[in-house]
Amino acid sequence: MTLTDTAQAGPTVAPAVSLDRISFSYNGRQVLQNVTLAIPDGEFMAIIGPNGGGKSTLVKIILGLLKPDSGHVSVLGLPPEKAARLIGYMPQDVLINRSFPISVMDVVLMGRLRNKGRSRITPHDRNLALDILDRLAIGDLAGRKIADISGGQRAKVFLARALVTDPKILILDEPTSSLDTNAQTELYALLKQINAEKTVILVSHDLMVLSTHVRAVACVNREVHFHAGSEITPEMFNMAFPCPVELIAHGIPHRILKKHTDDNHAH
Amino acid sequence: MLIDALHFEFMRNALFAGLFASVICGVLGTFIVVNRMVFLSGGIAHASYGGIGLALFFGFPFLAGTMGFSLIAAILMTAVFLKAKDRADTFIGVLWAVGMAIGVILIDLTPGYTPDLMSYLFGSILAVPVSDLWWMAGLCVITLFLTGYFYRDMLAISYDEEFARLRGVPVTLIYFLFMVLVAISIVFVIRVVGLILVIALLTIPPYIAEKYARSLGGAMVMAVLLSALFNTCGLALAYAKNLTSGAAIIMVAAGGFFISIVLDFIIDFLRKTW
Repeated sequence: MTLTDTAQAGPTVAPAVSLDRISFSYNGRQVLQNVTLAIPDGEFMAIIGPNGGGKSTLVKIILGLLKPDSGHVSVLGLPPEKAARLIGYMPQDVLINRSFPISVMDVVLMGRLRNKGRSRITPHDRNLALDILDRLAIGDLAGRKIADISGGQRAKVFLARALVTDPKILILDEPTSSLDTNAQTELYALLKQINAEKTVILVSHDLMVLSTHVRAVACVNREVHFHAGSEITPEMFNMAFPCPVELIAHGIPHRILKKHTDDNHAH
Repeated sequence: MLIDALHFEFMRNALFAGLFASVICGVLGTFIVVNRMVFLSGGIAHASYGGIGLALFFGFPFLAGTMGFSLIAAILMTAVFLKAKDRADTFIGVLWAVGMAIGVILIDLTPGYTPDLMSYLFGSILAVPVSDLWWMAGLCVITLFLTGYFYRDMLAISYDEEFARLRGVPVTLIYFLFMVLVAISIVFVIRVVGLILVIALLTIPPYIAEKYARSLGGAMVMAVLLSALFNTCGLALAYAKNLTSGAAIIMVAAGGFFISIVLDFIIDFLRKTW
């Protein structure tokens, strides 16, 4: 299945993610308010917004880790708890215990856990994991301890762990936050390939790289605004302003953008 | 020297008790250390003192009292740990203190002979009855079996609990299962080696092992071996110098702990200069 097939399959395909008037509050603070969002199957979407704006909360609601106070969530036509196993999730690197005694292989194998409802790993699982590590060009690291590899390599390991679950949707939470520019470019190229088969949703601070790769953007700041198309609007600018250093560092003149022509801003 | 000492039955029992405690504490302690549940385990161990008071006051067996208290403490503390990780330490601290206070007060209120706190703190490894050895052997088997069966799940929830949950691993069930096992183990190991040594055995060998091991399983094996080494050397030292065995074992373990820190420092220094 190619990228365009899935993206343009029309209204008959159930959206990958559908949120209907979701609200969520934490400790009395309204984090998300009346959010309605439909992410089409095959989409390559970025979630942007200021820190504390509700990006991670939105992702956790899609994953079924948090329950909204009100509203309806559906992932691939299923309730999110049921769909969780169909999502490949790559969490923020910084949230994971780096000194843990675990090999690259064992991290990736977590993606094959409970595949038949049991706590066993089969030789088949190992082969799948090795295949994916090879595809990401880090097959030679399989036996290394996770603490002994670089940030860029670690990002690939977590990507491999998400991919080895054979997901329909890939969700990445700030995948590039600890990467240098080269590693970022490489990762985005990989995601573009992956998007040919799967819906990709990524949380990011990095407006610049987004503009050249993603095909839709959701701005999250308590409310969510969905923009089909990859151009950067003034609204995104304002929304992202408190966080992305990239935006200020590289600036508009260096960015190659599509013309601001389409009017399908699904606000 | 220790070989001669093994002619005495109490020394043989003490050695076996130490080795069984090493297996239990090495395996479960590694799980506790990598999950940052050391404080919680300390809480379970201390709160169980309330059970001693209760048993003494109402006149039922110590084992029933301490087991009841430590199980209740383990379940409450694990529930709070899972529900509100960032606030759990306060609650655990309170339960820890309340358990001990209940124990002390009930012992005060009990007329007649009261056991002294010291044997509870440092245990009496030289007076281990054979029945306790059987209990500990059984616990070793159960611990090894459950750890083997749930190894991949334990690894996943310890490394990245959220991801494990998404893959359908019964995270809550496994935490409760293992913390109940920890509570039962703590009760038996306290009878043998005392409260202070059980915390030391649960933390020092796994802490050293975690740094050098390449996998969680490797860390568990290394922790068991280190623990066995500390126990045996400590016991030999206690026998040779006529010292309190629990305290001698702790001092040997602490020695190992500091040697590992100094080693890290030297390795780090060599890496930088060469």
